[in-house]
Amino acid sequence: MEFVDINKTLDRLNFNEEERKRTIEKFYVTLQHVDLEVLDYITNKGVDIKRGHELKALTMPLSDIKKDFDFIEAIHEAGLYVEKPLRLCLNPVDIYKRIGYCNANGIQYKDENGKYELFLFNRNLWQEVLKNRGLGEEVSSPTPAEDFNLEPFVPSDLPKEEPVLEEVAPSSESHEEEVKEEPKVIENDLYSPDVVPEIDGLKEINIGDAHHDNTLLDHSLTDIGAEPTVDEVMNEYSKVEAATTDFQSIRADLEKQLNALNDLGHDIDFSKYDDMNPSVYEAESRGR
Amino acid sequence: MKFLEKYGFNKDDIADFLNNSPKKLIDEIKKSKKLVGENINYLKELGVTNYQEIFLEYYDMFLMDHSNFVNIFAKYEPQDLIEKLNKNIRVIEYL
Repeated sequence: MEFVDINKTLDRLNFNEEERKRTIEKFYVTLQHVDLEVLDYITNKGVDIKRGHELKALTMPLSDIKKDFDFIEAIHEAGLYVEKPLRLCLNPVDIYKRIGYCNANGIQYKDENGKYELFLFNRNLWQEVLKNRGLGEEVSSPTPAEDFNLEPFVPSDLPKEEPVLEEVAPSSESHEEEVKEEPKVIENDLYSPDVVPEIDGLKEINIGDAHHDNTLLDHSLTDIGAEPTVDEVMNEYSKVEAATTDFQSIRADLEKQLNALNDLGHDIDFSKYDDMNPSVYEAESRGR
Repeated sequence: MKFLEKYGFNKDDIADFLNNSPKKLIDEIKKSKKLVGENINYLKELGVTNYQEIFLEYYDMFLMDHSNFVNIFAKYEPQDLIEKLNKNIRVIEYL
């Protein structure tokens, strides 16, 4: 280990003689890792190191300290570091979650003197709070965003690069991947062997019938859980339906929409609609 | 930090400790597992019942040389020390 002049550090700390002696005796290794830039930064923020065992906070990387301060200041709780510098070592997201929970459930997290309750900073004490409320154990951070059950926090003045919360995983990341996939090449032939069975299956439906809301495509989209892009397709289809009574035109349009769905990666099986008796269709739709 | 399980620390406590401690000090503890273990064991055998709580709060103190670590506590009457530490672990800061 590179030699570190601990006296320089101790001189900066303004400990009395007793505390200085105890610090050297007990926390010599920690003194070796103290970063005086961190000391300068937190001192400017009003945080004082008064005791040897608080020196741990000064071994944190300055970049982490700055991020934690930015985060805690953004949620207007900077006092908790001033109160106890050692809290700089704690994961601020855990503290934020607990504060959020307290706010949402009317739990006081400051005592009558305005001091932060210890359960905010201690997992076991926090578990007791949850147990008293009849809830399960806290999930340790870092947690997936879907475990959050707190009031939303919008850090409007937080630096954009700050990872305040884990981003909510998109409900279907695979959907994004599907969109980005190369579209399947489908032969531009309305009557290609792949397409004909599906289109043939449409024969029994009177697609031009305005009374029939339950079209083949409508059901299929309901089955798969229509996504916005497909709804747009459906809107387009409705316009086409209204605009023309020409069966061939309608059929051609349906073909395009089927292709669009396949391009999105949906593997829709239309074979169950081969029997295109409208009454069968209606019965099925009522069954939903 | 699996070595802490030998001294009765549960996995949740260890995970929480790792999540809330400076990396430099965690690395020092990992480098000095044997020494840290000896110091934890000393407190345990002395009869300090809340030695785990003491470690989780003052872990960097356990990086002391073992004989110096023992000397800190050996100065006091064991039963009195154990009672006082049970009441309030902050007593450690003044030993």
